[in-house]
Amino acid sequence: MLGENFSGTLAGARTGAEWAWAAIYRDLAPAVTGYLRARGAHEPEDLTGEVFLQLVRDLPRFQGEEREFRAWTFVIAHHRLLDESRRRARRPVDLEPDGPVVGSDPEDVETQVIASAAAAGVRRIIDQLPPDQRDVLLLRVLGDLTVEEVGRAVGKSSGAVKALQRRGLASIKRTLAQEGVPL
Amino acid sequence: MSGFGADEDEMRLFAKLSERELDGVLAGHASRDELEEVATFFRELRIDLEETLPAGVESRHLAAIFQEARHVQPAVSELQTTPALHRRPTLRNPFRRLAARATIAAVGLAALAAFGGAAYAGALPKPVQAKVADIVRHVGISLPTSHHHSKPRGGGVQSGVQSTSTLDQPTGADMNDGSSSGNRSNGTQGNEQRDQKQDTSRSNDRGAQQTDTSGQGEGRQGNDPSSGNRSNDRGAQQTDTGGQGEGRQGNDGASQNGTSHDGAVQGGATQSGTTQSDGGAEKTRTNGDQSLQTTTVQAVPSQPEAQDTTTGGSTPSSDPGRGGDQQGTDGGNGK
Repeated sequence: MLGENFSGTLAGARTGAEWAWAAIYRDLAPAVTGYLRARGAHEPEDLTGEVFLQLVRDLPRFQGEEREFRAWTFVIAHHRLLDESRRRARRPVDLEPDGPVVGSDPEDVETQVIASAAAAGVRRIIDQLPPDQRDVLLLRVLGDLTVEEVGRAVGKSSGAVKALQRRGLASIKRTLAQEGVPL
Repeated sequence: MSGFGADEDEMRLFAKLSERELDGVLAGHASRDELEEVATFFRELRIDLEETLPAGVESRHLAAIFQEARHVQPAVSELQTTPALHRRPTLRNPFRRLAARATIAAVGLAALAAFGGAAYAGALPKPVQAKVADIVRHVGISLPTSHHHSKPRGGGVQSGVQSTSTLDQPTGADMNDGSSSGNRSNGTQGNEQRDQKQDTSRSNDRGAQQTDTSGQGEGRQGNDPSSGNRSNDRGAQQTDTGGQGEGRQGNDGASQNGTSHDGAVQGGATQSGTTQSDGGAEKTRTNGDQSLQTTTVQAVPSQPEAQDTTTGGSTPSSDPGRGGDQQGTDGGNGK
């Protein structure tokens, strides 16, 4: 989070300042990429680049603070993801397995294995959720979107989003209790 | 339920949570012990999914972002002036854009046609009409300079070929000087009629003018090299016509005054009833210039064979070629 620096950074981005866009990218790109990957994007990194290019084009129309900016970014990511899903539906491609978990220390094999196991457990749990529950929870967690914003992004009412959220949480709790996923 | 079907206990637990508690769980903070495991899960989820991109990918993305920002930048200041929520939606459909442009073009053409028609008919306000006539005169189009009582019949664009007179055939001189153009004042028309009645001997030189009785004096002036004299300076006009077509000017002198651009003269469309005699015809003209009329009367004795009442029209003779002819016919009393 950029915090109190956000206003100045946004103003710089509006003028095309490279430092401002670099700051915004480094703040948001990891979460966006993670969201896209968790949602099953085939090429999450490339899709992340498209999301930020769209941010650049649409920034003149944006009004709001950091939280709104983050939510707006994830809405764009969500829409790009849907576009990619449609493209893939028309032109199926072979899926490739994910690479090693990024961010873990390659020197520490034990740490890497544990982290990989934990990450794998987390992803497996999230992947087993129904798509609509997964969408809601990921947008809420990674994008910091409010219930209303999630509803607008996925095209559902606030009540429906709340219901999906509760069902998703209940499912995760039950799975954790049953399977004892290492966290 | 099996698998990920939520048990009723879990459902009841989360159904009892407030929105704030739910937000806390999703953020990784448990407000209750039974929520600790789920909160930890979301903490791990956030850490796991927020992955740092490889340096190569980041630099590639940033380069593309910077380039895009440079392209978008010029439009930023313009767009920032309008709030996003109140900005009009853009027409992305090319057909809608085309329709909008066609509508604008049609409205523009309609406005132009209406204005042009009014200018042609001399129906514009007097100052505007005079200014428009003065402007289009430079491109060879003659328009009435003010309201007249009769419609211009000769057409705005002048050429001597427009002659339709059965009495007189336009000579090349008249046709060339543009005087044959249809735009003459009402008075001109009267004068022309009078000329037809009175003197057919002037036909060759005067024919175009008579043909142009439908026109107005201003139009003639506009095309005639000597029009400057006629239109703006009545005195010069008289002088000019004196040398060139005094005989005619004897007939038309008053009308020249009446059609001149000089406000005094035009305004003088108020008739003084000057009686002029041309070849035995007596005319009553609506000429605002008393002195000129008086001069004309003095120059040409009235012969009341035919009488027309004109309203300040003009038929300035500017054709050097017909001066002698008209002068001879009309007694050379144009001045």
